[in-house]
Amino acid sequence: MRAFLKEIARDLYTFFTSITLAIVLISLIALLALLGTLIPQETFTREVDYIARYGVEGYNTLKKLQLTNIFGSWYFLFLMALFTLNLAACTHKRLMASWRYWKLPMGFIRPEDLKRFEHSYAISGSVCSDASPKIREVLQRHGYRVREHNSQILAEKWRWERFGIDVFHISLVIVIFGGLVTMLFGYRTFAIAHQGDVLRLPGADFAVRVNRFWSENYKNSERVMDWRTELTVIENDKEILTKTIEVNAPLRYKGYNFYQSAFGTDWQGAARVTLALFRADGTALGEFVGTVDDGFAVPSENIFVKIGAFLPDFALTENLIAYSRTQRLENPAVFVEIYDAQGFRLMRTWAFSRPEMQRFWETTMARVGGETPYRIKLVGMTAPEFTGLQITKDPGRPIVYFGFLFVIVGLLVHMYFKHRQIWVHISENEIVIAGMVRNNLKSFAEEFRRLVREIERLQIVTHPESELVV
Amino acid sequence: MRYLSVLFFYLSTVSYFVTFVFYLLYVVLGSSQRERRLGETLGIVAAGVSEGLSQIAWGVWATRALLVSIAISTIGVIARAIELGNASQWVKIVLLPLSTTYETLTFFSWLIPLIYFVMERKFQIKQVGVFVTGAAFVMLSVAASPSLAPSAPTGVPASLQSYWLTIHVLFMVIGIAFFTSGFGATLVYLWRRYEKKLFLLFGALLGALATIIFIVVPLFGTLQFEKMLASGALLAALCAGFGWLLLFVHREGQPVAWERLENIEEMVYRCNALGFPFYAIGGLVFGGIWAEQAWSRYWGWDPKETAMLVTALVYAVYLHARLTWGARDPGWRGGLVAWLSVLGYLAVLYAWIGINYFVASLHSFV
Ligand code: HEM
Repeated sequence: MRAFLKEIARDLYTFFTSITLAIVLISLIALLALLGTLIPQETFTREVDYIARYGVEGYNTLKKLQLTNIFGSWYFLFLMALFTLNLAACTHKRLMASWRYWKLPMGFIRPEDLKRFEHSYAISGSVCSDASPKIREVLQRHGYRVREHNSQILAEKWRWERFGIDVFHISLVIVIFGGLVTMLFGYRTFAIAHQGDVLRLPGADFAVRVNRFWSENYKNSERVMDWRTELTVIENDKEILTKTIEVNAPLRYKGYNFYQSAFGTDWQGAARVTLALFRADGTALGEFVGTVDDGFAVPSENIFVKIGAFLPDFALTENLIAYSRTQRLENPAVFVEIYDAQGFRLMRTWAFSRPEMQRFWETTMARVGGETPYRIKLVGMTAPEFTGLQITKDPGRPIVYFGFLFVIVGLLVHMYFKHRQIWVHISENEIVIAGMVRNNLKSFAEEFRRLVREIERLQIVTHPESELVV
Repeated sequence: MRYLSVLFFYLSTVSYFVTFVFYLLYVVLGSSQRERRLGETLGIVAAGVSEGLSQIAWGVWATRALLVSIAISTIGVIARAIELGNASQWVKIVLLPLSTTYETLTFFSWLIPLIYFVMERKFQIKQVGVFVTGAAFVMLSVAASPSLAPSAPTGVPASLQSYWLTIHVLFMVIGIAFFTSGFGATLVYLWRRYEKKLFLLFGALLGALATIIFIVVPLFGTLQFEKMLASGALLAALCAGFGWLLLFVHREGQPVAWERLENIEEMVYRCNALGFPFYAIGGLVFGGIWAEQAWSRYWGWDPKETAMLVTALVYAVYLHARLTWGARDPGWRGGLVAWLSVLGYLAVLYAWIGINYFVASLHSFV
């Protein structure tokens, strides 16, 4: 039984350390991600826009296949999990290999073998007695660490470079882990705030007050330069600090972050509308003012007018759901319900400010639903300005940034350093120089040539008859 | 002309075109010259046939012209940076001219040849220059088109006012520049590898891409089950067909002399391997840091971000495939590695340009 388990463990290890598996997994992830750029994802797209694009049926199919939320779908997460395992296993295996490499000492190599190296050079002639210290000095000047072994100089540099790509792969795992921590324990919300609002956050022992917000334009221009919001942190009824945030410069306090994220007029949330009311026979009842989610009473008629919703840019989907195409005041519409004194709903309708929309709606409704007791027109509207704050709590941030740091370090080390080794064999009538670099870079040929030239210039070999080997 | 930069970009457009012609002459006449010399020594071709033109060292002149073009566009880029800084009232001191499509295109037409110049000095494979200078010329021509027109610089929007953005874009642009040189070298490599059959292969590849873009994707987009199935089958057929063609061409061709290819393959690898850290660090790390400051998250699967990830992943596949399957394999595996490099560059183009036409995203500025 134990042997069996061991075998399974070994097979699993072999499976997960395969680079072919890595290639397959990375390709699959890339393919799904590509699909995710072609099909709009839920996070950026409203239901109505899907329906407008694919129709109700298509949207349902997409949804069933989880194609509207690919990056949260079970198959994507499954692939990611496999990939993370793959990466971790690979890193483990590679780390072992790197460790063995690190431990592998540089040893004596016979001069005949040295001559067979790709980078190799022999100087023959009678060699001075102080050749060795002079050559050692040259090598040290080039940053090599030098040892001597049986009249052979063993020089090397950047052996640790071998760990660079391991550090990189490990850091990828760390970044993925940090992202997971944020996903699991993080917190994110979007707040629309007006002047003087105090924001309280679940789990936080402080509150944040919105003092004021404003935007700045470029000089002599309509272009906005920046949006700013002045925030004050309040803890135990004391004002701790005040900071003006702007786009790209959030407030960070106790692990919470406040970002300037939007700015505008809060039509949908807090519009204040002026409605003109008429009886069915055309008698004007006057103009009334009310806000969204609230309404006003008309005592003379003994009715209550409730304002259900305000859409700044009214449009209908294929299956007649009303939505706001944009947040601009293009085609304002308000949804009203009228109740009698007993709370019985007498009618409900949309009222428009564009006259042709109003006419179209009234004629359509008259055809479908017959006469209504009142007619309503939208004659005026205002809404307060708001600042939109994205608020997050991000416990994974330090982990992710730590990972980022070592992603950079690892990759740069891997890119710019390659372990180099030089053997110099000195005998009475010959000096053999041979070099090796991990991964056999072209650029090493230059360094090798330079080293050889410098050694030649030392004049430690009399009657030099140099001979290029290979 | 009100803006100095615009003048210099026009000048560099002309200059890159001239450079492109020089490189082209080098490829056409330079190599025929070599072949003719060979012919003369073997006694096949009589000496003195149209000597005149091919006597000129076109390669040397091409490199000189390249340097002149780079110098001109350097002035253009510096001038544009100053103009943009003035227009933005220097809200953030380090402003690279990378805030509109026009600016990125002109910036690319400076950086891509510059990076290529460095790689050319290292590897001396000047055929790549045809592609690189041609690309620079096309980019500048596109930038000069009326819809992107060299308009007056305007103040940069608030979301772009960040040092991290500058660093992020700079790294990505450098990465793309390396990839572009790498792609040019890949073309030369494939040309050498498959000789004239490359036309067949690229013809087939273009045909397949066109079929995918105009038939497979729209078919899939209908979301009707049978049509999705049909598009899947079509895609599989295309892949199989192309793979088969590749194998066929490979088998039919002469065995490739690896020595002839080795140097080019190394240039492809070095360009891609140098580009990868810039692209990946610039995109995943600096992009993430900036996105966290501006939009409150490092990563949000925004289409442009995602496309960048796809690109980085394709290049990661390329690097690993080369590592394990061996670039030195003169057989089909070596060829596959080269085609992965092509795929990588297609992904670069998709993430950089294509995505803007497929989807709206937060990154609509570049
Ligand atoms: C998205 C994920 C990954 C990225 C971006 C990545 C990136 C890289 C890069 C840039 C290199 C250097 C290649 C070169 O110098 O030519 C490399 C090497 C390597 N990678 Fe990955 N890698 C990833 C995942 C993996 C996985 C999952 C495995 C395990 C199967 C793996 C195993 C290796 C190995 C063994 C090397 C060889 C290093 C050497 O000896 O030079 N990598 N990787």
